[in-house]
Amino acid sequence: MNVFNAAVSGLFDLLLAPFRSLSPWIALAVVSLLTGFLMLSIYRRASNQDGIRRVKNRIKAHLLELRLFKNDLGVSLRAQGSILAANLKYIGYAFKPLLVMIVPVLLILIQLNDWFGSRPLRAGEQALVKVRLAEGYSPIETDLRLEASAGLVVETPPLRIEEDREVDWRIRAESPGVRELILRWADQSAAKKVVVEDGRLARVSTAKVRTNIWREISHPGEKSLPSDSPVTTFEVRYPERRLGLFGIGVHWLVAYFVLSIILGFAFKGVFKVTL
Amino acid sequence: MTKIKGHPLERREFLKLGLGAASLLALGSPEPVTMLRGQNETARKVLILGMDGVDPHLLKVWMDEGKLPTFRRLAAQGGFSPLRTSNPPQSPVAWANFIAGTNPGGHGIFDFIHRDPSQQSDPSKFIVFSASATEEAKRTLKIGKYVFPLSGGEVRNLRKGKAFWQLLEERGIPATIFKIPANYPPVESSQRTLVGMGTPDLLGTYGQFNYYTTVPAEINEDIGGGWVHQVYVIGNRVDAKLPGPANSFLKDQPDTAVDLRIDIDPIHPVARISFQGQEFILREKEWSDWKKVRFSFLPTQSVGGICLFYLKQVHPEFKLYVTPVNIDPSDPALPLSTPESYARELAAKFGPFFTKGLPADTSALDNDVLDEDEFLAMDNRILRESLDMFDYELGRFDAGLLFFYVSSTDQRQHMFWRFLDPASPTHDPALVPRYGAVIESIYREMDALLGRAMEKAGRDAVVIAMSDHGFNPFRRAFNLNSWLKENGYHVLKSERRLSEESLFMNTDWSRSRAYGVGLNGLYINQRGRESGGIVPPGPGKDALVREIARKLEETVDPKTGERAILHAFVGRDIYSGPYLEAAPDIVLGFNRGYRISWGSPMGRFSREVFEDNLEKWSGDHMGAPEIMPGILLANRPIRGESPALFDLTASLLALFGVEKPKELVGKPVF
Amino acid sequence: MGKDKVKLDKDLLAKVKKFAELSGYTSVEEFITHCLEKEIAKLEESDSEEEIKKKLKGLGYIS
Repeated sequence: MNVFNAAVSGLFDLLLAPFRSLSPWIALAVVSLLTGFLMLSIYRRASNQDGIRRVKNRIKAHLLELRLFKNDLGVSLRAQGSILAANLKYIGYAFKPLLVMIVPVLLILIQLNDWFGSRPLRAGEQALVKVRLAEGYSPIETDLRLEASAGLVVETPPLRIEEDREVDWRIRAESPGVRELILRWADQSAAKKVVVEDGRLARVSTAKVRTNIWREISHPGEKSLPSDSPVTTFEVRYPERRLGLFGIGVHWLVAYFVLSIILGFAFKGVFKVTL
Repeated sequence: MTKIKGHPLERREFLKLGLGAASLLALGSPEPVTMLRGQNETARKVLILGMDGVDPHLLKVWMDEGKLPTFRRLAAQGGFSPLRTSNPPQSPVAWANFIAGTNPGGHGIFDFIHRDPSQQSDPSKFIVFSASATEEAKRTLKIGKYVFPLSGGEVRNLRKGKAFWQLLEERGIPATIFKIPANYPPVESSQRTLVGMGTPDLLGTYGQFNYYTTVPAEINEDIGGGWVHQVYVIGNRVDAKLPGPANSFLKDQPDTAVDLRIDIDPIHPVARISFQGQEFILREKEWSDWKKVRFSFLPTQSVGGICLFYLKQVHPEFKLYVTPVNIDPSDPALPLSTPESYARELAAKFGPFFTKGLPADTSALDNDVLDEDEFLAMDNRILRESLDMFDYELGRFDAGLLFFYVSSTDQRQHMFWRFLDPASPTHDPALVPRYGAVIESIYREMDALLGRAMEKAGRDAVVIAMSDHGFNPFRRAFNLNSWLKENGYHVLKSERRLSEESLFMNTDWSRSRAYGVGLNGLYINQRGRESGGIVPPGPGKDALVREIARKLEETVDPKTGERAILHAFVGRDIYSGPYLEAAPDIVLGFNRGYRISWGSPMGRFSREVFEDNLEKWSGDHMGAPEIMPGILLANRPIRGESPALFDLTASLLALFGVEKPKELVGKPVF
Repeated sequence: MGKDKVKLDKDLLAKVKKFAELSGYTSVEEFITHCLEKEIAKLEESDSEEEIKKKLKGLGYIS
């Protein structure tokens, strides 16, 4: 899993590297454009283009029929029935490519969440570090210690919350750079990246995780924790990132979907795709 | 009304300038002010630092000792004079004198607290705040348990008269007015104004902190200015509620609240506070940053505020303090500025900031919820926030007027005077080494502020440092209402319940001839004015007023042998102007060391007329105005014997060459 | 003035008598009247006073 995650993440890092100093909107637009292209080509390959064209023509024909014979109840009803049937067929044709697309889309969304879901800490800013333990471990009995690399300070003693099997700390970023937190217990340890940037776009991996494959796929930014570790999550609560648009903050997911749809429709002719 | 006749030449000059400015405006010239620069009498830039409560005596002592070099320099460049304050010398009255350029008869603010004589029989409506009034929506639609407003409720600024920045605006002279008191809600203007003293918190009060404690002995329901909540630590967790505003969309208007979850470490002194999807950790004795909180009324209706958390203690007892919920300047639920976007602009630049008027929590210090250091930490934050914004405004100040206000000078003198005054009943010599220099240090900070201002404002700027009143010890408290009762002017229904009720609920109005409301005011229970009035207006009433005034001035404190009231002013002798309805019949000018008692302003009686003031609130300024002047320093020579606050208004208009409207009573002093 | 009788529990009455005497009331009636007046006043006062106190006390100058 780690190799797969590293490969996909590497691809995105490479892709977004040129846009990091620009507005996050530009980076997001580029990704939307590329994923739009990807989706269109998947759609063209995976869907029955002829079938879709035929069904859409049939719907158009029946609509015409409705207009022409609007005084004839029998014809109208029949035409409406046929439109409904054609629509179902259309949905059926579209279903297969959608099913194929869902996998890459999810992977892309997971990657985008790392880039656009949170923003890096700014120098001087504080954040919460949360460590969750596996069932059977008590946060009070497990001797967890948190250390920080230069440029980062651990500001509080551990706050151990038995009820949630959780240990929290507060850290403060001192200067920009990719910093590191080291969590130690018994004779083991785990390291976690902490990104401190002033303004630039950066990948922010909020958590390091273990336990199951889905959680690992959904946290691709860092190597997973060893599967026997008592720690299941090692997380930094970064501030949420909102994309500014005329004074309002837009969630990246909304921005991404709107951009993808607009760009997808704009380029469907270029790809000769019937949607 | 006092009328000041302008010198004929001066007057012509003003008219000429006025016409000039008006025609420039008509031509749409962007900078008429610059055009006025060539004139002798006009200035391009005027910078005023309003330092609430700075006392001329203390200032002079520390200037002479060389501790305030910038004040000294300013005084040497121009002048230093005591500044005659308002009568009574309370901040809202004094600042309103300056804003409107009149005595209180011209702006209608006579005290922090007024009374509504028509509501004498309704204790909940009789005693009112003087500077603003809230009116609920007049028409509502009730559906089941919901109430929908059909007309807007509103908050009204009760100060009358035109504000000087409105007069400047009419002549196209730009002004930025930072937190001037007695301007809530802000009067209509296109000038940049940010509200200050008089601004409520989100709950519509003048400050309700929340304090959560596991110590039963700290539970006190009767704390003014805050709620103390008993909480329990169960399994290292504390659950509590942060009270919000009343939900006016529901019948009976239940109070809203936000659930707080607090997790504490079993051993380490740290706690995590979570609410509404936010989480943060505080160490013991740490303040949080501003936190946003939302109170919802309906699924579609909610209101946002900001507050700071202070984790006072974790073990062995849990103690958490939360500031009053301030109106969020980035999304103001009530108006905070003109133009409306100005507060948002500042919030975008500086983040959230204190918006409640007089934000330092003196009640928390007075009630031992915060100690001296904790109070100072809070007040330092208030000052720092303001100073950052001042630097910003100073940086873009290129023409017109910049007025900047500081509250810390007043608030620290109220709370720390006892360390300067060995005769104070709460003087503690052991603490003098720690807190004896608090007041001096805020004067020094003002010196530094003045230094920055003078440096940045430029050579052509007129720089003025002023305060609204001075300061005085508050050692002995005088219960005016008890005095009236003892002298036969006020009659209670039940002597036994004497000290048990407030708001005059035990008063027999049919036999009472006079009563005291507010911090300096005495009113005759006048027939036709007070709803239960018995004293007919006319010569009989006037004689009664003179009689009470004389007796008050003769009253001697049995403990000290001193007169408590230096001067009992008769309202009709000292006030003039169109807004006299709220004027007291007598205004008490206290002697040095004296002030009204804590309960009398709200109609509470005590067995003794005189009592020691046992609060930490140990300095005050309710004295006769002649012993309570503020300060005036400028880099221009100051003319005239004893300039007053309203003279400064006239001076300001004269500096910009704006003709003084006839309602303004002052004379230019520069 | 018409007087209505109120029934009191025997033990309570004994206590009332004791405390009326201890606190220097001239009669049991006076003590009970005062207690009731006090309680009613509290109830009457609570709402409006609470509101006004809440609103104005934060100013700092009054209590």
